[in-house]
Amino acid sequence: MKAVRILERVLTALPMSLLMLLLVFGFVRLLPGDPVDIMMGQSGNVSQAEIDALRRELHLDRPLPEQLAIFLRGLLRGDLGTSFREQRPVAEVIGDAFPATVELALAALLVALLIGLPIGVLSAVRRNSWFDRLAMGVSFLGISMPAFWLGIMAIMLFSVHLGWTPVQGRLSAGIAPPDLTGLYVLDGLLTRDWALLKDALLHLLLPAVTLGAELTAIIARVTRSSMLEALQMDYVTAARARGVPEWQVVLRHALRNALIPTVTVAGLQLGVLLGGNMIVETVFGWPGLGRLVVGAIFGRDYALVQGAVMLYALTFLIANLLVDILYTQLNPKLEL
Amino acid sequence: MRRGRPTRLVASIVAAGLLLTAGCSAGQRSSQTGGQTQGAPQGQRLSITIDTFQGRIPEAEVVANYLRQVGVQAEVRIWEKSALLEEIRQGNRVAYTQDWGSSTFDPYDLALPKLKTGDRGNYSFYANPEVDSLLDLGASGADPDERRRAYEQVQQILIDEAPWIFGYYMDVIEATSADVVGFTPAMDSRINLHDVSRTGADSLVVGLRTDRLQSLDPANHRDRDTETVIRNIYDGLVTRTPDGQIVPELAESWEQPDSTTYVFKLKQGVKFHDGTEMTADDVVFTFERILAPDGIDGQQSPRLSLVGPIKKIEKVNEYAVRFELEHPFPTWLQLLPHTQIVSKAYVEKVGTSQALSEKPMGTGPFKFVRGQVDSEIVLERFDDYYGGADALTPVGPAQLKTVTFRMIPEPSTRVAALKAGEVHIIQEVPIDQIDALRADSNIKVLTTQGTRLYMIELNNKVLTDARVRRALNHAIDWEAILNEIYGGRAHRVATAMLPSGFGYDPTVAPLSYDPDLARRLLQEAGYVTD
Repeated sequence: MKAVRILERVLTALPMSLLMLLLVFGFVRLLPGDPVDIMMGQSGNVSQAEIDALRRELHLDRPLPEQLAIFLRGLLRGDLGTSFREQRPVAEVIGDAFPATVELALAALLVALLIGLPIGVLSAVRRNSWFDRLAMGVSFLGISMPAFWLGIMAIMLFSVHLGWTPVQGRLSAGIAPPDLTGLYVLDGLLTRDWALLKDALLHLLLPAVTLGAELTAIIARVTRSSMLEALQMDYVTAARARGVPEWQVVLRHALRNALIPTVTVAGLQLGVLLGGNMIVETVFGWPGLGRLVVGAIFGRDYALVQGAVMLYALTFLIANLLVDILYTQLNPKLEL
Repeated sequence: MRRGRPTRLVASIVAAGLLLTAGCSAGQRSSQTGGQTQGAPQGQRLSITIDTFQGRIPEAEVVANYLRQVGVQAEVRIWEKSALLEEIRQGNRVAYTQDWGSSTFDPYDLALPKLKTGDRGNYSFYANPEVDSLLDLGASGADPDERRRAYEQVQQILIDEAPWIFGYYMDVIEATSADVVGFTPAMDSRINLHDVSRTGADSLVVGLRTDRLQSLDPANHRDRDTETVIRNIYDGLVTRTPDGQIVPELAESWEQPDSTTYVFKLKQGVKFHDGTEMTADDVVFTFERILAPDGIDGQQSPRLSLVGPIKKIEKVNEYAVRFELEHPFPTWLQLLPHTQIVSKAYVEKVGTSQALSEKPMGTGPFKFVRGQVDSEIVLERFDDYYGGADALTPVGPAQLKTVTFRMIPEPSTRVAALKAGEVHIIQEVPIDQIDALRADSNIKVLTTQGTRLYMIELNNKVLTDARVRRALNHAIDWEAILNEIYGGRAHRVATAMLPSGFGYDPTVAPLSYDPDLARRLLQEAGYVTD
């Protein structure tokens, strides 16, 4: 039954995705700026023959409806087109960048949950204590601190002055990346290559914390307020009255019910994180999707932008679905 | 873009009509009022919006301020660069910050595309038939003295007509850790690791400014940073010394029997990384691959214009090739370092450009080990290297065993990585960090002249009066701007030619900072300035 519901959800999302695709197809072309001009750069002497050849090659000499038809035809065959700038299949270019983004996004989410949740719970339990005030003060900073500044400061302190973590990249210069999942931490675990695992984790640490800082703060705040509400509930009083130990009251009775808003926020944010974060990826030299797509937009690489947006749509779809499934786990009364 | 031909046609007819009427009225008025041009309504201020984009905003603000001081109503508008370019090309804007790079040390690829009537880079719509023919003569004349004179004449004309607010070029600033030996920043921004070593280590990491390379197929990109990496894997017939001299690399020598024929004698015994010998066939194949309309997987190579006007290339014998050009083209040798020789047999074996890019193979000092264009490229010393250009010492196999190019697009991160010892050479040090790096004894900061020209282009169809354009030049104190905003790392140029380029005339002085003169010129042109 549940499987059918899930399938239903996926199918209803398809027309939505198609609509969005058309929007993106139109919007990237509405952007002023000529891909060929940008590719040929503002330098040197380029012949008209080269410019014309490039236009033909990219189908930019065709009318818009025809370009759209070419794109949709390719899509039906599972072909996202060819990146203008790299002249490689879009799926391949995105496929190269996506694992790096997935690894960073999951790590950031993990950081946010591991730090944000306990802080939120503790702040709610010790409401108005010095811990609560400090935690909420720091989380305010977390929300308002620009990732760019935080990243650079973290690099200056931990990498340059203390030398604890590497400045940039996913692995140290001497270490060859394994050809497995593309998630180097996972690869390290799978191949039991501990040196690789350690190196990958060290490289992941600062970007994950930087990217996760804002989410940590949000999760802490959301958890705190929903916990405060839950702790007022009758069932909590009832549990206490039955003599259930306080930690069980907090974790089993209150937290479980307070988690729904947290899960919602985390789920939506995961969609955002999977879209890649251009700023953190740029600061830490992390070859991910965010950097790729921003470059593609500035370069008017229409095919690549379209492909990336499709991927975004897909990740949001999946993230939302996961959140809904999680709801039903947290509260069996809810249905998909 | 594809805006449809009818729109363009209409636009050009309207533009032509406007020009025609403008020309007529200008002619009429000048006969009546003596030099008074059209478009300058009596008793009004000149109003100008300076269009700019990220990177030059402070400069534009200060320029606007200087213009206000001579009575011009000046505003700054900020754009995304490519969006602005589209507007400029449609003739909708009046004054805009722009830049243009040159790679041949000759006005051929700078002043010519920027100022020849209707050329691709002529965003100022400057049109002067005399300048057109002088630029053509400079680019293709057979006699160097004649070419030089032609370019000098162009500079004289430009300083009078002031089609732009002339600008500056910037220093290229690179930094290395103190243990790096033998690295010289090159004006063409090449990072040649063949001649570099490190005290106490045989591996080196370079922090590149780009976020991704385009390809590792030398015939399928149009990007300097990509070429920087490629030229450590592949060599060309000739190369360029850090100060711009052309010297033989894979070639033993060359001769030029007449103005359109070049014969290259190749070095013998040069090995590709797969052990096969490089011969004339490979050279012919390399150029034909770029020249053919379908040379790169059925498409035209984006490097076509970088091989120059080649009419024919043929093998003379195993170790000699002959090039015939369509017309005399004196800058041709300066273009030649930008074409790297590939192995005919290997390229045919791997089949596609993409396959070549994934496993590049050349005659260069380093062979490809692994890497991805968006993160890092790892290379290893090629032990059978023939030695490289005799003019660039040391000659012989590279001294470093492993070299890595890392993409680090954020400047602060590049600097941090250098300080932390993760990388040993970095491109493009941010100006505000130079002093701090200078103070660090573990780091060396190195400088050379850049080959990109920065200016504020003026729409000559709108600002038709040269006095107005000159006035705008005289209104601005560039020395102050270059010192304050660019930390003295930018240098004024008089016109549209770089000091490093052929035919540069040092006697042409930049238009001086003279607000009084600027005001006077504006008044002469009919504007109110107070």
